Amino acid sequence: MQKPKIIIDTSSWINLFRVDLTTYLIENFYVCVTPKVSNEILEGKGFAEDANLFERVSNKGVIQIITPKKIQEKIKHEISISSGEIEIIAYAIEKKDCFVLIDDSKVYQVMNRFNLKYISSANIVVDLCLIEKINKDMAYKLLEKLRRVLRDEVINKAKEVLKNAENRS
Amino acid sequence: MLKIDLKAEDDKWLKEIAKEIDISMKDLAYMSIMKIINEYRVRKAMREYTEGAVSLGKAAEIAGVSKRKFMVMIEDFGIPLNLDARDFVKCFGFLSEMREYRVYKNVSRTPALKGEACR
Repeated sequence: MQKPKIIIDTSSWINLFRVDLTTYLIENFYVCVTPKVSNEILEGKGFAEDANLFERVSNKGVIQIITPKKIQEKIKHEISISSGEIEIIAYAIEKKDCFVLIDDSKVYQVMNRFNLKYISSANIVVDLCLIEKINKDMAYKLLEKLRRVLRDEVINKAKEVLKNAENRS
Repeated sequence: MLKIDLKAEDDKWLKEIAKEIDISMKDLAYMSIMKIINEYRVRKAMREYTEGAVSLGKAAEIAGVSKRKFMVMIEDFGIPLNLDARDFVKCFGFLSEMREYRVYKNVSRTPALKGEACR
């Protein structure tokens, strides 16, 4: 199966590194970032290991840098124009052939209006379990790690999905 | 230009502090004002982010820090990222379109979610 194209945001990259899933992400998705997101991640160079890894894989060409042709006026007032979020949405609107990986319901609100597809880092954990790249015990463990940065309701719902899948198998 | 009239006692303290940390009174006054502004910006950013009024990037912009730094700040305060269970479920709808699994069918959902992306 062809790898799905995914545009990642800084928050999700950091969260997935936290649960050691950046390699899985790269292996299972065709990963792209915008220049601003790349800069945001690389700001951590020298002290944040996720930034060092990002630099290494980017230099190898594993992560593609993509740039939107223009930033649509209609999104300029809702999303920070200085952050990578706006570039991500602008690119996704232009191409419509990709998922956006971002952990931000506020950004989802904007993407909903343009019928864009998005997922969160918690979805990646559950997805990898469901496609049997990681086992359920590992998935539960990783979700618990994400509990530090994601709401309890999200983690509990993610576990519910896994439990449901377990009951069906 | 902002001009401030200090009480004699406050002026004395300002001079003493400036001398102790070896900077001019003007710089000390500037630093103090900036500290208040920066603290206010961070408080406002955290409040608006927690209320769901702004995105993470916008909140970082209000706080005047990088997104990465803002993430660390909210984590230190025990504030989770603004992502709710309803959106998590909706995300699964998108993934289900791509993957073959349909695990979400039997998971309990809020009434508002009925008919949304998960099938």
